[in-house]
Amino acid sequence: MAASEQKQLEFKVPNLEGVEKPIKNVIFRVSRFDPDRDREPYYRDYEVPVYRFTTVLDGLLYIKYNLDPTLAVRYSCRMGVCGSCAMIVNGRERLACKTNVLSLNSNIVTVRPINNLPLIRDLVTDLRPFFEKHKKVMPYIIRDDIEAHQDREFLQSPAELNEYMMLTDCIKCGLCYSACPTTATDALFLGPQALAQAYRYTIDSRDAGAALRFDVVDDPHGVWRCHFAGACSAACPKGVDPAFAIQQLKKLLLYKRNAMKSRKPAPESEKVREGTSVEEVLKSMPKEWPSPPAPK
Amino acid sequence: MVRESTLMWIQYITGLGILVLGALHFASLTFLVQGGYPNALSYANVVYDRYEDPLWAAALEAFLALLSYHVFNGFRVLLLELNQGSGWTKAVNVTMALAAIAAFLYGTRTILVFHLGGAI
Repeated sequence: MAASEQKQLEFKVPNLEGVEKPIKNVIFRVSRFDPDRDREPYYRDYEVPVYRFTTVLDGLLYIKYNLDPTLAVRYSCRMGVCGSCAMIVNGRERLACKTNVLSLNSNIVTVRPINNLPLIRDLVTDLRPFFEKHKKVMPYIIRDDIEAHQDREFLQSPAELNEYMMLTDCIKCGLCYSACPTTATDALFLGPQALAQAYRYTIDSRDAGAALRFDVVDDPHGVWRCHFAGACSAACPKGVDPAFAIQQLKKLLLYKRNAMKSRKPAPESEKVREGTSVEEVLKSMPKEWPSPPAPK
Repeated sequence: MVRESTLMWIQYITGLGILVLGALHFASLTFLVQGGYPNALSYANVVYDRYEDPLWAAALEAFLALLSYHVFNGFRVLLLELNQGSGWTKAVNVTMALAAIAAFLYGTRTILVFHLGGAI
């Protein structure tokens, strides 16, 4: 199909007329910022009809499609899985798609972008510093034989899985990073998300990368700068407890540094994995993944 | 280069030591002086009777050593959180180390003078 014939995407807000009447109108006080026009962010009010099940994200999309199409808001899954719509609603870090407007018990809903990250526009922040720190702690299984045994699984008991299971729920929304008081003053601090993931992979019985991760987190701006305020755990919309993981990471560094460094990773299963081999999958993968252009 | 975990481990240990030796120090200034509370904080009682004793002087010296480390390492941590940069980090590390050594040496001089029966 030629580019000119390509159908334009249509975004439609569900028509709720006749299904249910709005319960009340709520003022959405939204932080606005256009880098080409504004010197600093300001708030603008919008009146939004609220139904029984209207979320903050629904309210913002109502504004975008009915009142002000210039509003920039990042979202994707609309069901608390992708973590894109992280923002500060009525002073607290929340996922807009998981926050019911009526549950806020307020006729004014104040929405602003998350803290501790550069602001791009309106409610959209630049998440690159956050993901750079995430990458820095090597959030993947590290072991010498990982390339040689692509066709088998590494064995892990349910008890070993339980040690880090809670931390796998992280959706990288950045709410903990926004809530962290140390991140607010120390731009080089790795932050709760990265440190929790460092612990998650270090404690994984299949991993042998403790020494590499310890070098990263045992730094003047690493794990020791956490003051255990606990704001990260309070902010997490998925029930992850980064504050706990960070204290456990400190314990590993103090008491188990050598034991973790010399720990033998879990053995591989004798059973060969069925289905498409990893080699075949790797062959079909593009050499370079396309990525969107970086924001200006 | 000392690892941050080593510095913080010493920070925790010195914190615990300060709790014990600090309590002993305040006790030595108050109810442990000769004559009990009525003579508390009396210069002659505290300085001459207490710190001429080598054991008490040693305890005070140890307290001073723990405090010198704990205070200035804590201050270093605060400063590193307030500002970042390799130049700043180096400057803070060196300044705090020198300040800790200076405080320790000056305090040691005072303890030695008392111990040897002198007066400040």
